[in-house]
Amino acid sequence: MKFVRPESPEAAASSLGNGSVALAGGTDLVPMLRDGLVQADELVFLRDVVPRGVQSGRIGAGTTLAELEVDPELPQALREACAASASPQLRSMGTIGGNLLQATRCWYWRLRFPCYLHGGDRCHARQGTHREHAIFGNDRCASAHPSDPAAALLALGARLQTTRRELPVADLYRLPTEENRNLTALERDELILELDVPTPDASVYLKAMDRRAWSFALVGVAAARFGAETRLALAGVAPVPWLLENPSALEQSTPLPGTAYKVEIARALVRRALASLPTT
Amino acid sequence: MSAPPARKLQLGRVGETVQRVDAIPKVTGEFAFSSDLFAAGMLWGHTVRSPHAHARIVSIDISQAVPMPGVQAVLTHEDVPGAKHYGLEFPDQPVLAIDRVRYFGEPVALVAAEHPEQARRAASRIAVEYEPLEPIVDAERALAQEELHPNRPTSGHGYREDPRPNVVRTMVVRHGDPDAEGDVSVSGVYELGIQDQAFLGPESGLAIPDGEGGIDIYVATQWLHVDRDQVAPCLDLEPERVRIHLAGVGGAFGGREDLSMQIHGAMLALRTNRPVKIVYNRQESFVGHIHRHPARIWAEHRADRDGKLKCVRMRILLDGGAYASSSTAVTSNAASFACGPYAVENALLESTCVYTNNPPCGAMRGFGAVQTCFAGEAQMDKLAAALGVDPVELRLRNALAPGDTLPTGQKLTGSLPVAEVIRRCAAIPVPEPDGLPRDAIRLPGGSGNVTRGEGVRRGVGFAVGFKNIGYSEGFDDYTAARVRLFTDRSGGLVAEVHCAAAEVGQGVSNVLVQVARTELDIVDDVLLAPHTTATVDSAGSASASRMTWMSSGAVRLACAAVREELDRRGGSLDPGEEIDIERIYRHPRTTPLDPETGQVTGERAHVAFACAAMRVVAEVDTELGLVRVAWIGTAQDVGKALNPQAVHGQIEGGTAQGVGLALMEEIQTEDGLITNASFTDYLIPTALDMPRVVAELVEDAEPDAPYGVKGVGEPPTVVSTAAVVAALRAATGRELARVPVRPEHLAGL
Amino acid sequence: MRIELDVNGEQLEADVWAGESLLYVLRERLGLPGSKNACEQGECGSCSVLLDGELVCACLVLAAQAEGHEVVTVEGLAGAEGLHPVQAAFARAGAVQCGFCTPGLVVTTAHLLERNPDPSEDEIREALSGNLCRCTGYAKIFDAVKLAAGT
Repeated sequence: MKFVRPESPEAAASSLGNGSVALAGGTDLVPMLRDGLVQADELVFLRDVVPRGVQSGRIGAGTTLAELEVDPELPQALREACAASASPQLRSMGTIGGNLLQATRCWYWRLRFPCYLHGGDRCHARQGTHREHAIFGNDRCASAHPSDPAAALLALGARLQTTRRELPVADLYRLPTEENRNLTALERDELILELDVPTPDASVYLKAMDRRAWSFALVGVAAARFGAETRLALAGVAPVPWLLENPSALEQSTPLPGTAYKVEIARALVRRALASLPTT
Repeated sequence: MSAPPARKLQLGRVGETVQRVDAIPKVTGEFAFSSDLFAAGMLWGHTVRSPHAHARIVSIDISQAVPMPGVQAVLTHEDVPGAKHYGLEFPDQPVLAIDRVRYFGEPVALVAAEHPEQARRAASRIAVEYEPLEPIVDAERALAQEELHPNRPTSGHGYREDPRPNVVRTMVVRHGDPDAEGDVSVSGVYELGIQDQAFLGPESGLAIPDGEGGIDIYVATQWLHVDRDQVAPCLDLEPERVRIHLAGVGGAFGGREDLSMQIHGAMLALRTNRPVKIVYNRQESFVGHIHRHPARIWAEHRADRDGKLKCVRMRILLDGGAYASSSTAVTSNAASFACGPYAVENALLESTCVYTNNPPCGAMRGFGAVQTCFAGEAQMDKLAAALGVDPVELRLRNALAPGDTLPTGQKLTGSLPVAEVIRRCAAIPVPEPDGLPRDAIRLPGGSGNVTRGEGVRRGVGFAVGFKNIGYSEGFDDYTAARVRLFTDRSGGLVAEVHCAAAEVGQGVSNVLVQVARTELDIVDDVLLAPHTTATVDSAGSASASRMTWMSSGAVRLACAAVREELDRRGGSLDPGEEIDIERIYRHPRTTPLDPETGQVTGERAHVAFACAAMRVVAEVDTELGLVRVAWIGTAQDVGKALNPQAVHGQIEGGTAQGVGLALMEEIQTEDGLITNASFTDYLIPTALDMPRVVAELVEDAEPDAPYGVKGVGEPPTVVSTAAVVAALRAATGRELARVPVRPEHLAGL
Repeated sequence: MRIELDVNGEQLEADVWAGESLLYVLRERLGLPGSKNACEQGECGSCSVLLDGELVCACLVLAAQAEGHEVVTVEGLAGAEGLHPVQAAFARAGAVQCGFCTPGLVVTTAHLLERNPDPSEDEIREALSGNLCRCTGYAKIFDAVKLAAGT
C-alpha cells in the first residue's frame, strides 16, 4: 500500500478509484482497512488539500468535530451533534466530511455477511438481531445511519460544495436500489470540499444512547427553526439520515419487531426537541 | 560500588494503605505487560480460527501459506508434539482442532512470521475446508440433541449421574423437606446473558526456546503452575523443561484461568528455534477466552406470614458452550449459593450445565453466584411485596448467623456477619435527590442531552449476596512461598519473597510485601522476586477471592521459619550467608458434596464465606428508557483490610462490572457466532456511567485465616447487578427478569 | 517508506509500511511501548497520545499522517525533576490497578488539566469518557485528577 500527498483537491479527486482511497482523519477508514472491509492500494491523504476551518458560515470539509463543537458561530444543533459524537480522542481527528460519509455499524455488514449492501439479495438483520436498526426506508436494507452531524446538517438545510457540483446535503444520500447499493451519491472521483450552513433562529440536537457517553445513536433528533418552519432530521433510524416532514410522520414508520421501541423514543425526542426551541 | 536503585519500594505493614509496588512503572509506561515484551530475533505468531460454530474439518491445506514472505512456520494439529488435548479441569479441548470445530473462533492452525502483517496474510491463505454442521445453540434443547462430546469427559468424577446428552454436570442440593409449604409463594423465571471479562490487556505472551529443547513462556495468566501442567504434556516435555513466567497482566477477572497462547507460542518457538510473540487483537480476544455462563433460572420462594423463609426451590440451567473449562465448579457454586445468605430449613436446588456450540464459558468474577443472586434477590423483593414487609427488614429476618446451617448442610463455624452488613449498608445516608432543573449530563441520557427532567423517575434498590472464599469440594488447594534472607552490599538485611501469586491488578504483590514487612520487621528491605514456576512451587490461582488469604498464609509461614532459623544462628547473617526456606500453606480441608443430596460429606465443602449488601439509587427516563445510576452505597464483609485503599478499589471495580451486566453488557450470538466482538458493540461502563461508591468495610475476622482476612474481589460483583435492577424495578414497576436491561425494556411507560 | 517523527521532543526516524499506525510505530519501531493496544480500533483510549497538543488515538493515526507533527506520549510527560504531577497523583490516589488503561488516562488527564486547571467532577467525567477502565470503576481516577489539579 502507498501513501500519497496530492497537490490539489482536483488532483486528489481525480486519483481516486481503482484501489485509491481518500484518507482524511482516518477514524472511519483505518479500522475498515484493518478489517478488510475496504481494500486500498493507495491512500490519498487529504489533509493539506481539502479546506479546513470555518469562515462566515462556510465550513471546510477537513474541519474536525472537535473544532466544530466549540465554534460559537455555528448553529447549536451542529455543535451539539459534534459534541455528542464518538469520544474526545476521535473528535480531534475525525473530519466533518468523513463523518458524513461514514459506514453503517450494522454488524452483519461489518462481519461481511453477503447482505444487500454487500451486493447480495437479503438483509440478514431483518431475520436476525436488529435492535439497533432502522424504522424508516428499510424495505431492502435495515441498517441505520450512525452520523449525528449529518442529521443536524440535514435539519439545517446545509449545502455541500464538491469538486464537481453544489448540492443540498439531502442529495448526498440515497437508499440502495437493485442496480446501485451505495448509500451516497458521490461519484468515485468526487470530493466534498466545503459545507454551507444556514443560520437558524434556533436549533438543538438530542441523542438517545445505550450508555451515557461514547455510543452510536439509538435515535438522534435534530430540530432547526427558520421563522415559522421547523425542520426535523433523525440519526440512527434509517440507512441514511432521515428528514422527518413533521412529527406525525413517525406514524408512517415501518419498524421491525425489534426496532419498534425506537418509534417511542423518536416520538419523545421530537417532542422534547421542539419544546426546547424558543418560539420567537 | 553502584548506587542503590532509583525507585525504592514504599513499604508498610498489614493494615496500612500502601502505594502499589508497581504504581510508578505503570504511570510512566515502563511496566512491561505481556503485549509489550520483546526479544531479539522475535517472530510474530498468529492463530487461524474457525468461522463456524460447528463443523467437520474436511481438509487443511497450508501449502499456499508456507512460501509466503516472512513465514517461518505453519502448524496444525499434526504438529502437536504430545497430548492433543488439554483443559483446566478436563482435557476435552484440542490444542488445534483435529476433525471438528465446536465453537466460533476455535483455533485450527498457527503461523509464525517476521512481521505480524505477514503472519496475518499467510493465515488468510491457509485453506480449511469445512463441512458446516447444525450448531447446538439452545441449552434446553441440547439435553436432547446429539452429544458434542460422546466420550463424556466429565463423567466418572464423583458427580451426580445425569445421563442426558450434553450434560457437563448436574448438582442437586436437597435440604430438609423440599415440599414444605408456606403461607405465601412467589415465582419467577430469570435470565442472564453472556457477560465478558473484557480485560483491557489483550491475550499475549512471548515463548523463548532455551536451545536445549525446553521453553520459557512469559505470559499474562492467573495460575502459572496449572498452565505449566497443561503445556508440558502437549509439548511432550517434562514439567521442569517448561518454565512459565508471569508477564504484566492487564486485568483478568477469570478470563485468563484457561490457556490462551501458551501452547501455541511454545509450539511455534520450538519449531523455529526463535522467540515467538503472540498478541490477540480485540475481536480475537472476545472469541479467544471463556465468558460468564448465561443462565435461565426458575425460582420459587415460600415464606410464612412473618416473613421467615420456609422453602426455596430453584432450577438453574447454565449454557457452558463448547468445552468444560471450570463449568463443573460454576455449576456447584450456583446451586450452593442459590438461597442467598439466608437461613432456610428446606430447599431443592438443581443446577445443570450443558455443552453447546455457543461460546465456551468458565470463570468470571462471581462464578455462578452472580446468576443466582440476581434471581434470588428478585424473589426476595417479590416476597417482601407479597407480605407487605420492608425489603431490608425481610432480609434481616432471614439473615444467616454463626451456628446456622447452610442448605448444603454445612454449619457456619467461621465469620459471616450478614445482619451487620445489612444494617451497616442500610444505615449509610442516601443523599437527597438532585434537584431540578439540572444539567443534562447529570440526568439519564448523559452526554446525549435528552432531558431536563421530563419523565424521570427515581428508584432505590437493595440487595444482599454471598459466596465462598477459596476452592471447594475437596480440591487440594495450597500456596507455596519462599523467603530468602541475606545481607546486601551495604550491610542491610534483605528478604526476597518468591511467590507465584499472579498479580493481575488486584494488588497481591503489595500483600506479599506488606506481610513480609510485618512478619520480618527486622529487615531493611523486602524484595519481590519475579513470579515464575522456576523458583517456587504453585501459589494456586488468582481467583475465587483466595489469593490474599492463601499467599498471606504462605508468606507468613515462610517468614516464621526464616525467623526461627535466624534466631538459631544468633540473630544475624554474615556477608555471603543466607537463609532460604520454602513453605506450603493449606486452608482447612474441604470434602465433596454428596452427589445425590448435595450435602456435605465431612465438616465443610467450602472453606469460608463473604457477603455484601448494596443499595443503589437509579433514575430512569421512562419515556426513553435511559438510566442513570445516581448513587451506590455498600457494606462488605472483608475480614480484615490488609490495604484499605486497595480494598476500596476492588469494591468500586467489582461494582462497575455488575453495573455493566445490569445495563449494557451482553455477548450477542447468532447460531453460535459472536456478532459484537468489539468495544463499539460490547459496551462496558465509561466514566460517565459509574457513580461514586460509598463503601463501609465490615471487619469481622475470619477465624481460620491469616490476620482474619477474607477475599474481597467477588462479593461486590455478586450483589451489584441485583441491586441495580432492584432500583430500576422500583422506578418503573416493571418485572425486569432479564439482564442486561436495555432502553427498550424500560421505554414507553 | 522512511518517515521522520517528532516524539517527546526528539527527532526520530523509522522505516514503516504505509498501513502501520502511529501506535504500532511507537511501540514496535521506536522503543516506546508505553501507549497501549487494548483495542486498536479507537474504542478504548488506551493508546491516547498528544498530536500537536490535541488528544488522539494513536491506533487510528497512520504513522505517515503523523509525519511533520509533534507527538507526546506517556513516556514524555515526566520531567527532569521526576514524575509529572498527574503521574504522581494516579500513583498516590490508588487509581492504578492492572494499569493497562493508565498511560492513556494519564495523557488524557494531562491534556484536560492544561486546558481546564480546576475541572468539576462532571467535566472530568466527560473529558475521560473516551478512556475505558475495567478494574477501578473510575472513582479513584477522579480522585487522582482532583489531586493533580490541586498541585
